[in-house]
Amino acid sequence: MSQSEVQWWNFLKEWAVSLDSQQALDIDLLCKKYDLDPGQAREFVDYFSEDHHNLKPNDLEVCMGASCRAKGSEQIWSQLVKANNGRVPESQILIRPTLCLSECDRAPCAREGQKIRTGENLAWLNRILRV
Amino acid sequence: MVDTLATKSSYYHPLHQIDSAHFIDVYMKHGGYSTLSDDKSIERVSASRFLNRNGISLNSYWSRMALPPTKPRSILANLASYEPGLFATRRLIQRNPHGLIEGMLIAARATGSDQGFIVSPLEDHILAQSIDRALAEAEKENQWGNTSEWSFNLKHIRLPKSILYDQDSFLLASLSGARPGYPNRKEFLCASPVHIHRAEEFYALVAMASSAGEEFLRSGSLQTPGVYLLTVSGEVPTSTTIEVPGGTPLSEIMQIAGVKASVSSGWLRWGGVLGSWQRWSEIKDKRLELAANGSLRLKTFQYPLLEWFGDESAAAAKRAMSYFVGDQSCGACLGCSRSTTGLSKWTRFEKTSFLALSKCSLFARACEASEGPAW
Repeated sequence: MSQSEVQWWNFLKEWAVSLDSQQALDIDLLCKKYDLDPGQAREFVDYFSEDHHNLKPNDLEVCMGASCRAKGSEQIWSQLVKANNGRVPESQILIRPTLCLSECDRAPCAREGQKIRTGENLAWLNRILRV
Repeated sequence: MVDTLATKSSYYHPLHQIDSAHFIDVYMKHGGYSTLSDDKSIERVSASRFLNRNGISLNSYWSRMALPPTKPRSILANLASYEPGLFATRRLIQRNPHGLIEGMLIAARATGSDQGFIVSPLEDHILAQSIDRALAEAEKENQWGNTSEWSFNLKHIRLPKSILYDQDSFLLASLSGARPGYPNRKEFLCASPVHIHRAEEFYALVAMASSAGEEFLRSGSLQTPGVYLLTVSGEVPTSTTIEVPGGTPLSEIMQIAGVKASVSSGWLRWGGVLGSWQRWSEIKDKRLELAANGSLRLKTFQYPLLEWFGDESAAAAKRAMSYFVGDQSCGACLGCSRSTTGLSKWTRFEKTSFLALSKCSLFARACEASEGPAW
């Protein structure tokens, strides 16, 4: 492993730790520490920044893959949006579509916070609609 | 739920009946990594006619790089290419991560590679944890790494999922830094040639190299030898992963997933989002032939995925496809997103982006895939 490769590994490791611990990362300081190009490092971090905001416990991602659509995720989506619109802004939840959660054999599915909810038992949907 | 990864005849997950087979001590106790010490197993793999994702045999794929033995080369397991609905690979790696590493070690010996890369999706933390743990365990047991008898290094790279990574040339160009805006890992590649495979192909190598290898290779047809791991999903009663020999009639495959033999309406989409739509009545009597001149010809974008949809839900699936293609478009031209942004917008930019479109294979595939059921 070359020296620059080792430095990149160290940088990535610290970056991953900061994501897990949700602490802010001083990129310039790290670049100085590991002798890396700050522009390149910043480009890398910015590129991945959107991939790492974890869903809050009540946030919902509804799978819109072909299998889930075939098993009714569009209807689930419209029910959720309708229920959400009927709430006061303070109690509304974030609902967004996602492309595929790779749980097609248990469609229709969704991710609530970090938990996968599946079509085997739709109690999760009733609970959210009732709130 | 039908799940052939958990039936007694599974080639891809032979230790399914063993508890904790995803831990290396249990895996090795039941014969894991034993194929690496058998020279004949490597010969058997090299001589096999099993077809890889490009529809050619492994040996002809590997031998396309005629290099002197001293020239470094690498192998890569591509998990970052993104296909909605293809859940078999993820399940397989979660249940049997050491099968992937063993398969990569076999492929590395057969090709003379000294480096291996596992490229996994950044979004999938659970999968990454399985891979990292298995890599650490295998290194500790001296299966790879500096302390092993054989100099071979494995690295786990995490990239955001993208359909563009399905093209070997794009993935390599991106990793080597030739695609601005996409993350690169040129420090790792060192400009060496790389053989890219899908994860399930490495599991097939383990099956071929093991004691069941003869039986595995005898299965299948002349055009498509071997047993293939397929994902069957869509509007079928039971979405499932199945292992079928090449040459099996499609109607038989879909019956396992619960589509009755008498059904002749509906659509079959094979090969994934950028594969092809065909009326079920037209294709149901055909066989699973993956060769270049076979029935399905999954040559350019070979995803081992079959999806059956009824006439009504086929339109919803097509909407899902257009949403996906629009999202995955690289943005260099508007071609891929024409199904979502509308044809009028696309034609407005047609003249300026024509050159870019003509170079974009994703656009060509997206146009083909747009054919099929009405909206």
